[in-house]
Amino acid sequence: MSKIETDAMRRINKKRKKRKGSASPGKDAWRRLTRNKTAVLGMVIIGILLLVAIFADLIAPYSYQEQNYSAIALGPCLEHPFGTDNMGRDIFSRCVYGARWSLPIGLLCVVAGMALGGTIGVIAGYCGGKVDNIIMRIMDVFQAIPAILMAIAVVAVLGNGIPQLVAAMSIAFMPNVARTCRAAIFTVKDSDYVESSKAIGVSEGKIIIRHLVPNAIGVIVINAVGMVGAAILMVSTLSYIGVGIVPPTPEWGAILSAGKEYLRSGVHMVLFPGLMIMFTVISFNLFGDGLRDALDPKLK
Amino acid sequence: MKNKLQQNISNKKLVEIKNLIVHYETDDGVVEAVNNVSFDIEKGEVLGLVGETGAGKTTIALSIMNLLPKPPAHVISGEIYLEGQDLMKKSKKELQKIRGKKISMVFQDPMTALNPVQTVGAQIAEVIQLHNSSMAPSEIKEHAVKMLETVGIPGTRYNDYPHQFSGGMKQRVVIAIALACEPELIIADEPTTALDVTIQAQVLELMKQLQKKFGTAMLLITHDFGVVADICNKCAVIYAGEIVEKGRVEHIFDHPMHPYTIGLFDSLPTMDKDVERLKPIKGAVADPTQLPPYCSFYDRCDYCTEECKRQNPALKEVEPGHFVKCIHEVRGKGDEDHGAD
Amino acid sequence: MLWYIVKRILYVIPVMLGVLIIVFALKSIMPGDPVDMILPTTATAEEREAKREELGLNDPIIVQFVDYVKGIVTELDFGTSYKTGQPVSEELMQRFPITFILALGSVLLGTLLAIPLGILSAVKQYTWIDSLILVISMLAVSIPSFWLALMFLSLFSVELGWLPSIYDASLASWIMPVIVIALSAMSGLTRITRSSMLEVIRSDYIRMAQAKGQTEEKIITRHALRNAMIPILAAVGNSLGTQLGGALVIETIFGMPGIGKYITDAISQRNFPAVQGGVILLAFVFTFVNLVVDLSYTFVDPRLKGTIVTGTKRKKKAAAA
Repeated sequence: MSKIETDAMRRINKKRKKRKGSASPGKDAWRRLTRNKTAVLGMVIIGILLLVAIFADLIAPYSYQEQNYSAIALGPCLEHPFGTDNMGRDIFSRCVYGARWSLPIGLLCVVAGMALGGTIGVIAGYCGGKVDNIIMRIMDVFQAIPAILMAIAVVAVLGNGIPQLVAAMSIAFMPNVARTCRAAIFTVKDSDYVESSKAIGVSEGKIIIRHLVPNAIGVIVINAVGMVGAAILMVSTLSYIGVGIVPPTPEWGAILSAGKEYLRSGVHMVLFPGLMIMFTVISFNLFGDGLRDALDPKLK
Repeated sequence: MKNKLQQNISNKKLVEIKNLIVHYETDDGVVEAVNNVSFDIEKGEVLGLVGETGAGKTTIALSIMNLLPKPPAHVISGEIYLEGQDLMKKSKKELQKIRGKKISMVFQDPMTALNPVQTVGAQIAEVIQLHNSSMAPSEIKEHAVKMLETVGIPGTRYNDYPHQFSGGMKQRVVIAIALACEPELIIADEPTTALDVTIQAQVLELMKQLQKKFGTAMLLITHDFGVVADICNKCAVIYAGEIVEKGRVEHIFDHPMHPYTIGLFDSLPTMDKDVERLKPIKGAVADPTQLPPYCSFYDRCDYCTEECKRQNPALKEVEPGHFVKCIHEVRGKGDEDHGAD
Repeated sequence: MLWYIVKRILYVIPVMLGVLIIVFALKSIMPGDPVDMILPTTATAEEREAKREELGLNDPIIVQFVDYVKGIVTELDFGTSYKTGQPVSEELMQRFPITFILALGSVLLGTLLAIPLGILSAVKQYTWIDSLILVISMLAVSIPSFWLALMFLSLFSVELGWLPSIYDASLASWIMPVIVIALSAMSGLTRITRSSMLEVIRSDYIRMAQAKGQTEEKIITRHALRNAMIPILAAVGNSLGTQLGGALVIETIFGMPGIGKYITDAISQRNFPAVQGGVILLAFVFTFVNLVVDLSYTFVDPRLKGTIVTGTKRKKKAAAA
């Protein structure tokens, strides 16, 4: 008996030491996030990708448009770790520079999408009633068109270019984002703590600042991070079918699109840009999942 | 052989729990939910397990059913005997034959205890069918309807879904499920807490009647001494995962001896005393992640001395069948009051 | 109940009208003169004007819209393709079965894979099985499907020569497209099944079923799955929408003559009636699928039979606000 007790005590003490230092909810979330191995992995890859984008000039051995006619469509070798494309351009360098396009465009699309959809959702959620009803019926209509089809149609109308692409993506994301943000606002608005704040006479403005914003922001941030991966995927898909970023810009989807004609002569032209996209998307998804678990442990 | 002989001797004991220790291991530390709890229930007896929220009552109940969520729960040590057989050593299959047949459970919240997408009839029939594999479907249904009627619900409601019932009615259905196979033991985990006060009385009365009718033993978990007084023979008071006092109901009610039990009684309104204010127990429940190595009630105790800090006392028998976990021989006020009437 | 079904079906009408407005608005914003697409560059100004008149391009935009809607509603007329001069509706109908089978078949396959995987993952939470399933679904959700399609092509067609690289109506040529889309559908659905099951598994009625002595398998199939089904169904419906879009890319890669390829080709040719028709058709299919999904909720959950599914929920929330 006594042995069991001392064993238990030892285990408890060990755990107790770990407990020290948990204070604010923010710190708590950070602790949970950093303890989540996959989330940390995601953050590390994102960090590396950002560094690659920033120091592309230093990392890339060649310029992204430098053509070398003596080295056309080479497979991976020492000089060209990812091989070269049909114009003798170094694919590794193009992929490195690609981080400068794919990452910011993906992030930009999310920011724009959150701004557009988020505003609509927050207005619907906050106003409620008729306003909410009308907005959500309009969102139903937008949702009836599959997102990628919507993006393609908008780009087809607006033409190629980054601002057009961002606009198309934010319209495509709008209905889902609006729905999520609206739900987030509703959850907070209907909560007992908001009701009780109202009951003790807290002003509307204070309720918005003290309760609505901080509680809804969490959900919105979680969704935004979760969307980055999807956005990068969708942009690369659009580039692939030729309505997003067009060659010779070294966006990963565009590099891939240029390489697809040469699938028979060398897989590497398609393989490596695709791997870049995949790793980026995975890391954002891992980070997003980790962030969700950390900020909202109940959802786990 | 010898072992078997011993079991036969303690045959009167339906359930016997020995030195049960259960911990929950979470990211934020170890919750010592149940600490060295031992008690037994005899056939046909009703034991009331009384304690505050978080004292570890439900954990004990789930341990008996072997339904603790693992992880995070860990049974550190302990043995649980049902009719002399150690449930901890049973296989999954064997346990499935025991659950619902020998031991069944009534849950705290009838609103969530029934499957929302199945008819109540089907849910009663399920348990009957599970433990009576030879029964024909028509017989099963017949039996299920009979069970519904036993708990006071017209059999015509067999095909209704849980959402068509009120809270009290749902709890009746849960009771019907628990009784359907005439188990030896029913574990009722705060069966009336989630109900309206008027409904509470009805459900309690029903349970009392059915317990008598079927002669089932019952482990009644509650935080309400009124309920204990109403239907229990024995009572155990639990604080911070430990039994601090146990005995026959008369022992506990007439002369409680643990400072915590005394405190609980003092915080109840009574009819025969004219008190201005109820006396609450000072302080808050001990943090189950940081229990002291000495008496866990020390910080809240009116009778504590330096001596108390030096040890964690064991339960000791102060009179036949009455155990108290305190080094002091405190005598509760209830003694004089109840002794007089 | 019946009233709800009728109301829900009627709701398709305003949604589709909205879709028509969006698509029509997009066309109106589009730069360039459609007449340029149809007539050769040598055409005279008179010929152009005559064509404009014939297409109704000189009418006010509202009139054009009303005519367009009237055409669709009364005789399924989506206009004529600028490229071929054929009615768009005919061209769409020829291509529709391929897209529909591709998207529906893949999503069904993905669902059939996802539900058992998600359940397994939830039941075995915190074990290596759960981790493995999560890793697989994380990979599948992060891989660009067009890239996966190209990798499959290069491995199974170019390298090994097992499967045809171009669609030839044979069963073998369906294998790769279906698998690529099914994997993409599976990943999301697995995660949703898992989280939905995890939530249900922790509920009291599952514990109640355990307390009855029910076996684990039956607890999952009889009690948990049906309760976890609504979010899964919703996700299947949504997934079909996503995959109708995904089919667009996959069809181009494998040269399948479906709606997706029709639309992408039409976009590069600026053949707008074709784009319009394709988008509207896919939107209609998606809306119809969501209608079916919504109605199926009432069969899954008896609580919803008496009430109106989404409508009341929304109204209740609005009323609370």
